[in-house]
Amino acid sequence: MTYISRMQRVVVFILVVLVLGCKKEPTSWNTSNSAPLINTSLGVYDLIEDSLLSTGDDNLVSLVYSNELINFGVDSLVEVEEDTISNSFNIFPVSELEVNPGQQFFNQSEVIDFEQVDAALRRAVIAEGSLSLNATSDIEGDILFKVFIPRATRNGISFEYEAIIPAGSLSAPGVLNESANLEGYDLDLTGISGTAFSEIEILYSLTVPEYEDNVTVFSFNEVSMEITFDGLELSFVEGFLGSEVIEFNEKAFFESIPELNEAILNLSEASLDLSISNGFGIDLQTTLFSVKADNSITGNQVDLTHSIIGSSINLNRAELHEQTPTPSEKSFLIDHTNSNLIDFLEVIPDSLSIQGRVELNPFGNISNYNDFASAQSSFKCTANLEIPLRASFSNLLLRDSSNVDWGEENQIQKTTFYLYSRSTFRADATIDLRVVDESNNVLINLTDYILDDLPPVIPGATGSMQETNTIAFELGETEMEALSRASQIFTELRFETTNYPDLVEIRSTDRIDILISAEVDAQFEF
Amino acid sequence: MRLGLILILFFLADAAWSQSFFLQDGSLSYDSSSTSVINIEVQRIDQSNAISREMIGKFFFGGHISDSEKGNVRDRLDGENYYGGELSPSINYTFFQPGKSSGWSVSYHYRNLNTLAFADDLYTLFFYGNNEFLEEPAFLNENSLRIFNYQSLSFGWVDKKTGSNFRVGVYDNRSFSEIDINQTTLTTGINNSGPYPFADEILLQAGTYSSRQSSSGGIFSSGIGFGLSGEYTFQIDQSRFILGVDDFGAMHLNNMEERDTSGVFEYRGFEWEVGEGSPLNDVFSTLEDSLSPNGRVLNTWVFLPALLKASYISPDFGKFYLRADGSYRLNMGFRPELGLAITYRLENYNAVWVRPVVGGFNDFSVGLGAQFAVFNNTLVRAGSNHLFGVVDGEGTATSLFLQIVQKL
Repeated sequence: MTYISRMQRVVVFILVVLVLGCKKEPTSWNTSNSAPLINTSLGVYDLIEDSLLSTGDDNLVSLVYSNELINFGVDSLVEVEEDTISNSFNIFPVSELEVNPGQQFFNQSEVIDFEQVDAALRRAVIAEGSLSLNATSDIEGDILFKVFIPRATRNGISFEYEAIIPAGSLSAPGVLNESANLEGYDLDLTGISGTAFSEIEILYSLTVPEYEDNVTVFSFNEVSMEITFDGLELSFVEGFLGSEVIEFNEKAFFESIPELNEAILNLSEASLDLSISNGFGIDLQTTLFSVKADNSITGNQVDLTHSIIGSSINLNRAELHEQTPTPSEKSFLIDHTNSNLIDFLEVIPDSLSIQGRVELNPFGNISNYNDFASAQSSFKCTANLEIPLRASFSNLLLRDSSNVDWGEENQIQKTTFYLYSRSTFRADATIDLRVVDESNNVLINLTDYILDDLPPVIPGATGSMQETNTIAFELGETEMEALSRASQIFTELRFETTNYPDLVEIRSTDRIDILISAEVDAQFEF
Repeated sequence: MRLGLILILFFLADAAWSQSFFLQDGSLSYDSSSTSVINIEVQRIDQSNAISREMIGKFFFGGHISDSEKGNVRDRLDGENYYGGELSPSINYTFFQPGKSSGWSVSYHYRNLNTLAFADDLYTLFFYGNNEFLEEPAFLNENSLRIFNYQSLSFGWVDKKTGSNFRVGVYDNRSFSEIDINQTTLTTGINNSGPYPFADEILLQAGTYSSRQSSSGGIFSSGIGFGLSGEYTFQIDQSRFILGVDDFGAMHLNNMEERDTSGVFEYRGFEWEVGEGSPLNDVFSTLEDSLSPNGRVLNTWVFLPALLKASYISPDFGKFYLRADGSYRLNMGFRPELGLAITYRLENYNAVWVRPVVGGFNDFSVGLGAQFAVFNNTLVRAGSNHLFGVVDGEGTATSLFLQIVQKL
């Protein structure tokens, strides 16, 4: 028995030692692997936003800034304000009237005259808006309120709307508040006669509904009615749209302009295409008082000098084809031969300001009430600036940043990165790679770890041959640990053409192909 | 974790003799007066012709595998390398009705079986990395992995006089995997055009790759099977013979994912467009996705990995007798194994033996075992059939077994 007890104690001891001693830790071993990691190909379209570039027939790339300086739509020309018909009904001096079910006991015809509109309209199509019906009645029975507009049609059917004014009493009248959607209705605004302008007839009536018993209307009863055109927006109007003069003072900002301020671009080949377009069925006459380039950082401003400034520009009316206006346009090519464009651009503008006026129908109602304006109509002035990338770059800087999330990594002891490049750009590119943490603190400047003191340069092509190059970066355990905390990598390419002739052309076919490969000595764990 | 270890240590027994009613000398583990027998067994086996016990231990329990440990294994690689592992705990209760010549039993088994066949270059690639193959391709031929994890509940009949028995069980799949990679090479392309050679391409030429995998959530959710187990014993002159089988049957696997592919996969780094964020985050998962063949889900039958076993127990010669055991497990890639135990009989049931073993993945090993009565009605068999790995971490085969028989 003693022997057994001792043995049991030994077994228990061994179990405890084994259980406590076998604490699980990661299984690990050292490995050394090589693999290509990233393969990328950079062209000028990858480095500068596509919308800022255009390519000519010879593949020569130009910087293009296109901006609308002015854009007026139909709502700037024709605005229809709220208009209301009000009426009331009673039978005084008759003391009492017995009305049978289905019997109409009041009807009225009225003409709404859109007097606020500074135009003589023959027709209008409603894009948005409603007809509000508001009524009160102290008659002790429901009343049917009907509204009919014979010359407002949609799909060939005239507008008609019915609503019940609930039964009421002297102390608590019945109240109706409803609105009917007018979207898509085509209004003939020539009135009852068919020869008027900006008028439309509305018919409305009161009837005892079929479901009611006889309703007695007393002399003290009253029905008040209001019919209101509410929030009208028009998609098409026709008529004489007036001879209004509109002054404008607009400013347009450029977006996403790359940092070219250290590049010496050949501005003598730059051109500014100023295009003015009239999408209304109205003759227009416009005058540009000034076009100003503004750099908000330096505060520098330059006014454009060109024969267009201060001159009257007549724009013919647009033509209408299948309800779609075809604008009339005038374009003015401005370059260094006919303007101060080089001075204008040298301020590196981040906005352009334009001041002027536009006059509608400067020669009166010569269309005989056949002016038109549609939702697609606009009066626009567009600036298209083009600078061919035939330039001498002393310092063309292109930057990009990429988010990084390394996740859980194995313990890396040493990593050698290889940056292999093939370039057809006729410019050397100095590369700068900075790894930053979430607070934008620089963790590593990778170019500090280039082997053999080689310069961090991707050499440009010579002649028609692409240039290849390999740079190696060696990172130890400390640097890899820092890299694991990275949240972003900032890449900067600084193009230089100092080793090239005066002007270097950038073509859409030029590319830098980059392959990043790594040789990793790591402790693999699981 | 501790509970798991306790269970592993507790459930160590010789699966080759799972639920046997026979002792080392072929006699019965109960007597005529016994009404019930509880039999608890566990066995853990790790066998390889290359991988050391130390490395296997670090795989399961953690730790750093040193360069010298990796090197020792590498030196043993001979083109065709194998590993087989098994963990088999079980418990059986047998009830003998008084006055009846037979009894009824109920058993629970859990079985975890793993086999791995691998090429030299797969080992080198896995433990050293592809820098070992910068000048020539890594040949990844004849690689396979089999994992079958299941549990069973069996009901059986036992002839009380002879110990011959028969069990019918229902089986529940826990996990099933079959992966085969053949005629495959992995080449790391090197760019030598500049001052620094570097990898610019990884080329995987896959002859065939196939996998079938099914793993479980709840009981019977991924597969249900039926199987037979049993033993038959007979005597010729003074020699005893025992023939037996475990897990002879089949399992119907549900929702098994089957994939196969062949072809060439080229990897030249991930295409990256400026401003898109770093693609390094998920290099490996993306690579895995791009290499993974399209799969299909199917329901199918597979054979259970039946164990065939036969024993011969010689007549005594003095205090000694011999026991020869042969066993072969089907369908998992295991190899047949033959052991010859030279047993020294002590008083009563007690005995000790030394057992040379040939076959299996280890070709040759030596085991030691003992059988002894702890209390009047308790018998314990314990030992190892593969002792080299137990005493030396560099040994490539290790096993431990424990069997406790409680007569009531």
